[in-house]
Parts: sequence; structure tokens; C-alpha cells
Amino acid sequence: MSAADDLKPLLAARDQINEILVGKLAEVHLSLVSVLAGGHLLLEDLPGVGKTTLAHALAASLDLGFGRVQFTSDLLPADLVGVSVFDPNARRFDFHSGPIFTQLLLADEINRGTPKLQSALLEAMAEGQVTVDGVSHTLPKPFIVIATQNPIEQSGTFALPESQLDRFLLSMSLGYPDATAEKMLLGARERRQAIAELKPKLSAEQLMALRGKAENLHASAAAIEYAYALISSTRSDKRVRIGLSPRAGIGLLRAAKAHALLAARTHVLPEDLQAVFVAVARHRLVLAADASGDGASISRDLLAHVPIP
Amino acid sequence: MRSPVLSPRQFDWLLIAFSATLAPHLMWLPLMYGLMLGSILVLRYVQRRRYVRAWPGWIKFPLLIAVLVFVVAEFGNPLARQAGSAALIGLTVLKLIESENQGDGLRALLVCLFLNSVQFLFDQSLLVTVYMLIPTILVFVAMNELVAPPGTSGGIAGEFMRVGKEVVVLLAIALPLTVFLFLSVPRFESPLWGTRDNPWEAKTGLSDEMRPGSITELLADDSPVMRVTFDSAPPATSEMYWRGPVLVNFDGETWRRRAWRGATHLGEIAGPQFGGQSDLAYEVMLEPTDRNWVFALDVATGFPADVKQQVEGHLLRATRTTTVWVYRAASDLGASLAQGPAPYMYRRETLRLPENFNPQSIALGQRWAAEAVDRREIVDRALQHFRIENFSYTLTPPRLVGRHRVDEFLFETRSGFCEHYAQAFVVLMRAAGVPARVVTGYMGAERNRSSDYYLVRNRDAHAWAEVLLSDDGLWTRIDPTAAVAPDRISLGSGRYDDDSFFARDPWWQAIRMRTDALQHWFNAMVVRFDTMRQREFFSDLGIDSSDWRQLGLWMAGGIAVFGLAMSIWMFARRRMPIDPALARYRSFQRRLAKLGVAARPSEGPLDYAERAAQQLPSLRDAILDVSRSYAAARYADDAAALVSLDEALRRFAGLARTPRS
Repeated sequence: MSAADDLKPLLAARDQINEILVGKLAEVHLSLVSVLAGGHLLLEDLPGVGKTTLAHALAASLDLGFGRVQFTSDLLPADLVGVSVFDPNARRFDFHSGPIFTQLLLADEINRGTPKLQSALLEAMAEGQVTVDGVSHTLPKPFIVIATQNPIEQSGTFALPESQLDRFLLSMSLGYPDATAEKMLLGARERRQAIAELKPKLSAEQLMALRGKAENLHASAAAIEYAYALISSTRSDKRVRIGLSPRAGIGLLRAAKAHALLAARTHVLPEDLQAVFVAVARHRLVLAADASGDGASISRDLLAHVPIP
Repeated sequence: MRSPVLSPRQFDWLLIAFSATLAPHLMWLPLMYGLMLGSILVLRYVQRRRYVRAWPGWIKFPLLIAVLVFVVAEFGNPLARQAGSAALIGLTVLKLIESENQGDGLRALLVCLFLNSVQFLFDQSLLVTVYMLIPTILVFVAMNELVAPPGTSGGIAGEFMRVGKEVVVLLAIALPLTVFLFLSVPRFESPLWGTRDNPWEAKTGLSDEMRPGSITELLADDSPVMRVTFDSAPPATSEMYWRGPVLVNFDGETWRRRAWRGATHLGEIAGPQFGGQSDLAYEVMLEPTDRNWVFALDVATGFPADVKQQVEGHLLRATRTTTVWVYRAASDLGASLAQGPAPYMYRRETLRLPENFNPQSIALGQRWAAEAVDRREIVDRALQHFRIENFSYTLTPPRLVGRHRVDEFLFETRSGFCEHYAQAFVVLMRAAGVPARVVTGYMGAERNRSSDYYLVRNRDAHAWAEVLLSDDGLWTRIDPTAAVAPDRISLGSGRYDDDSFFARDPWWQAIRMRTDALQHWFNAMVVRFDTMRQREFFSDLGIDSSDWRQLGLWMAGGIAVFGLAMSIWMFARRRMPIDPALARYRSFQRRLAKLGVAARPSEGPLDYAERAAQQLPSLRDAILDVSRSYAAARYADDAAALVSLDEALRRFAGLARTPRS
């Protein structure tokens, strides 16, 4: 099967990242699913568990331009997007692009940015372009945002509204590595150096081609039926105030397709939907006031109870 | 093949379901037996928490012997109702000791369902009936827990809320069939469990004997004895003397019934089937007493055919009353009882007093006899004595401890209740040469305003006296308690000598009346549905239910209709048409479930195949083949895959049929 051959570089990239970010197979896999599905990724985690490493390693392995912006409350949209500067010699405005003009952008602590800044980023995420002074500037392709937010420290932050969370295709948390992995980590050499030595395993063009393949992967009526059952279960559950949107449903199927492609399949299986469902749903579910648990645990519970049609 | 070992959670459910089943049985099981079973269960629970293991034979076997010995020693006849039920409960506990896998657990739960119905052999009240829903639901929830795949989240309570809902729906679906079977299953004329139990079951209320002074406190037993509906205007409650056994023989301590030796006919006279037009007619709904007593107002003139009136005036039934029994009776309240056969001998016995007992009382009686002109005057003097000599009525009299208890009561304590007064009165009368006897029964009744019947409760138990005023006359009822506490007679037991909150609060009283009316209704509609009622019901429908074949035909027809309706409903719920690949896959899942690997509803084909292949390694390739073909057929819409699915299924079926080592 030629699909398997096309996949090889991507899988090689995955293995390479796994060497850097030890013991996080499922998470690394999901981040590749996100990239392959053309979505943006939200990492909800404590500092120091490897969010930056993951983003760095992804960029290096996939041969993507990498930019990083640390969000703070005094960061202005112009600091992110860029500004038009008057050139007195040419007597015209020149656009000086901001750090957003890259292929893989790590938006660190996105919830520390002001709503104005957040919406500028999210517009870019949705449209693939930015508009400054009435002129639209197209962002490079692919354009991938990996945003992080700290779930514990909430003082001085601006929580992302639901509509903006919806723009992240997947969300996950890395969590602490397990004991073996962490001991290995302590004994290993400096990660920064290791990342610098990473070799790109596939080109942006190859990635875009794989993306197209994932998009056109076959999802049968039965798979769509199951996807719908999962989405509608979030809307009828008492613990959930606002269930998944149709956009989330489209995202679920897109991510499942990417997951199926990564497994070298030509069609979506229930297992693919299950593998990505929690990551699709956890940040989008708005819980009822008296619900116990969080979005992730409720999604997992729904997953266990919704029968496959 | 071995069924899977119970998880701790599943075992907890097993114990919860069984405990709920056991709870109502504790009301009738002997305390020691209940404690023994309870502690075995607790030990088992603690042990199961620590490690999974059935108890070894050297523990189980002595326990089995202990249970059997206890049952035989306590109940005697092992085939009777109580012994059989107690043995079954004990054996179920032993089953739980050795239940380690799913199959054992399910069998124990089935027995639990049976034990739930056994409960109705002992108590058929509405409260218990409603309670029985709880263990029934819990058993079904536990069953579900035992067969459902593990791995669902949420605590035991959450589990119950989720599964309980399904179980309630299931039970609701079964309800029409239950009602139908209730109506149509042929009834036995007499209940199956009519086998005699040992008489250890000492019911409070009336008994064969009377021993005044030995109990220091008459428990306020509110449980109902009977509910009476009068055809016409009811008499005043102070006129309601419900006659029970008559006590003649006194040995200084205990009053007993006279033994009617010789032919039993001697003690029976043919009673009129129904009395005159002017007599008071009424219907009695008697709670199970486990005796063959039949209560009627004095003097009974009409009663059912299988009831005989005894010489001493009370009614006896051929069989013991073990379920709620409804009968009609009539009485002539103004009449008195005539002396039976052999009056001379009987009179001598009603004058006999034990020797060397109660000298003071006897002296008092003899003094009255010497002073009075006739027996009437002696009776009056005795009643007068009670009235003026500072006697008081109390349900909690001081304990009488000496040999001369009547003396003690008459001259020292001077407080007591009906038994004390009836006894002292009869002793005084006999000392004075007036033939006298003690009559036990119930006195009064409480009217239930919400549904207009009269309720007689155990606390209405009463004792009074009867005397012969002339040797050729009739027995005259004298109630010495009335002389001391006229209120007890006019107000009834419920309102006398009881100043607790519950007795005074009108709101509480109203609730009590309502609930009793509900029980009355339940008895009339459900418990009382016997052969006769069933016949009436079916003849109303135009069916002759005395022919069991016709009834059986109707029953089979009804079940068939129910089954048909259920299948139509189930098919309607199912989305049709079903995908051909899915239909094949479902049958594959069922086969695997039989091999011990049940599919979870939310398990994808690859995950399921992987799990099944791990548990059934010899079928690994066949299982993986089937699931691959199924995935291709259903999720890749590959038409050719359906053919390969069929092939893979055939291969799997061939392999699965051959026995595995």
C-alpha cells in the first residue's frame, strides 16, 4: 500500500520526538494527529512538563519554521501580528511582520494575554491570515498554533471564552512522566541541545500532501452515525450545560480521519473516533454547576457508555 | 468452562442484594439464628476484601451442620414453613461463603428472588409488599452488575441510579404479565404452607393461658387483629365483647382452658348457621393468628359452615388461620349463654379453687357468702369492693411475686389491668360459692372514619368474668374492670392510660387511620383474592374458571399475547433494516460471549478482537480475521469484504465448535 510508504517519514518523525519527550507516546501521537488534521492544539498543563519541548521537537522534525510568543497582559496585538511602519524614503507604509508569521507558533500561557490579543491570535488561527490597516497578509502554510495554559494559577488571567476554545481542534495535558521516563530524563543530556540536533524527517510539502489525504479519507455511514451518537450524548447529558457544537463534530471526524491515516487505514473505525474524542471534547464541554469531575472525565465516561451503532 | 471471578465491586453488590433480602426475614427468624448468619456474612465480607478465596471445606462443613442442627432444634419439622424457609436462608448464606465466580453469584441471586417471595408466607401487609420492591430491584441491579462488563466509572450509588432506572423499567414492563398471572393462576383452597409450625411463635395478644402478675408490663401492641364492617348500625364500642377462649382451671398461678376429654362432640353443639332477622350481622377480616380461633361478638348466632361453636360459647375453626381470612358472622348482643352438657360437673369445676392459696381472699369471699341473701348481692358486693377500696387501673402494675398473688393484689398493690381484676373477681366468686369463669377475648374497637370499619388491635385484648346467678340459669357477663375503670370500657384501650404524644396528637391519629384504611383496602383487593374471588372474577368475564383446562388455556393465551406485544415493541425499537455486516457481527459477538468474552457496547471491533484473542489464544487468528473483515465491510463500505466476512465466520465457527483444552 502506497499510503504506508507516504506515512513512513511521519512515523519516523514521531519516533524521533518520542526520543526527546520520553514516555509520552499517546500525547505525541495526538499532537501529530492535530498537525495532520490541520488543527491547532491546546496544552493545559503545569509549567515544566515538556510543552515547549514538544512544540520544538515537532517543528524540528517536521521541518517547520518555529516561533514562540510568551503571552503577557501588556502584550499588544501589534506585538504579535506586526505593524505598518512609514518609510520616509519610499513615502509609503511598510508592513513589518510580527512573530506570528511562522509555521508553528507556540503561544505560551495564552490566558495571560488580554482578550484583544487573544482574539487577534484566534482570528489568525481561523482565517490563516492577518489584517493590518485594512491590508490582509496571508500566513505561511501550514500554520499551526500550539497554545498552552496553566490550569492552576488563575490570578491575573483572562479565561478564553467558549467560542475561542472551540477553535482548538484538540486539547490535552501532558502530565508528569512516569517514574522510568522521569529517571531517564534526569540522566539524559540537555534537551535543548538534543532538539538542536533533530533532523527534519519530512518537508512541509509532504506534510500538506498527507493532510490532503487525511481530509479525503473514507468515513462510512456507520462511522458518521457513531460520531453523531457521541456528539449528541454530550448534549443530553445532565452534567453538561453546553454540549459539542457542529464545528466540534466536524473537528471530531477530521481528527479521527487523521488518526486513521496514522494507523495506515483507508477508513475511519470507531477506535479512531474513540482515540480522539476526549481530546476533542474536554475543553469544549461547558459543565453544569453541580457536575462533579472535569470535561475529560465526563468525556471518558460518555465514551464508555455510548454504544457503537 | 470456568466463569470469571467476581470483582470486589460485584461481590459487594451480591452482599447488598442478599442483605436487603434477608432484612425482612429477621422479623420472624430467631434472634440467635439471625446473629449467627449476620456474623458469617460480616466475616465473609471482611475476608473477601483482603483476598479472593472461597472458604475451605473444614470451615464450611461444620457451619452447614450448625445451620441444620439449629433449624431442626428450633423448629422441629423440617418440612414446615418456618423450618424450610430458615434452612433455605442458612444455605444461601453458606452459598455466599463459597461464591467466587459469576455463575455462583447468579445462582445465589436467583435464590434471593425466591426468598423475596418466601417473605410473603410470613407477612402479607402492604408495608412489606412495598418494601419487597427494594430487595427485588437490588437483586436485579446486582445481576446486571454481575453480567455487565466492568470498567464503568462512578461509585456504588451512582451505579445504582444508572442501572436501577433500567431495572425499574424492566419491572414495569413485567407488571402486566404479573397482574395477569395473579388473576389467572389457579388458587389452592388451603394454603400450601398450612403445615403446622412449632408453637414457639408466641404472638402477643391472646393466648391459651393467663398468668396475671407474671408480666409486669403489657406491651402496647398496636398490630391489628381484625377489621369489622357492620351491615347495619354498629353497636356502641362498650358493647363489643369479642369472645375468645374461656379459662376455667386455676392452679394458683395460671388459668387454663378446661380439657374436654372424651368425644370431641361433647364440647361442640351444632350452632345455627345464621341467626334471626334482628341479629347484628357483620363481616370480619381476620389477620393471621396461627390459631383456629374465630372471633365474634357475644353471643354468636351465625358463622361460616366450617366453624363450630363450643359449649363455652367461643367459636373454633377446622383449620388454623394463616392468611387474612374474611368471614361473615351474626350475633345477638342481648342474649346469654346457656349451660352446656353435664352442667353439674362443669359447675363443680367452676367452683374449684387450688388448696392453700390466697387464704385472705377466700376468707373475704366466704364472709360475703355468709352475709348475702343471694348470688346477685355477692356479685354487687365484690364490684362495690373494687370501686371503694382504692383500686386503680394501670397497664404497668407492680410485679406480683409471692405465692398468694390474688391476696397480694386484693390487699396490697390494688392496681392492675383486666387480667388482675377478672382473676381476683372469679376467685372471690368461687370462694363465695358462685360458679364463675374467666373469658378472654377482645373488648371494643376503633372506628376508622376514612373508610368506615372498626379496627380491633392486640392492645384491645381483654379478660372478663361470667357467673351463674342461679344453678339452672344462664351465664351472666360481669366485667369487673368496668367497676374500676369505666373509661377503659367506654373509650377503648387506645385512649385510656396513654398520654404519649402519638396517642394525643390528632394529626398523627389521622395518619394512622389512613394507613390502616390502605391496608384494609390492600387486604380486600390483593391478599383476599382466593379461589372464590377468582371464580367470581372470571365468571364476570364469562369464563368458567372451575375448569382448570379452560383457565390454563386462557393463561397460555394471555402469556402468548404478552410475548407477542413485547416482541413487536422490541422490533419497533430496533432500527430496521439492520446492516448485513452488523447482523453477522452481532451473532459473532454472541458466540464469543458464550465463550466468556462479552462485548462492551462501547467497544470497537479491533479492541474487542484484541481482548477476545488474548483470552482465547487458540482462536486468535480466526477472531482477528472476522473483525478485520467486519471493519472493512462496515467502515470501508467494501462490498467484497462481506464475502470474506462470511468465510472468516465459518472458519471461526468451525474452530469454536471443537472443544478447547
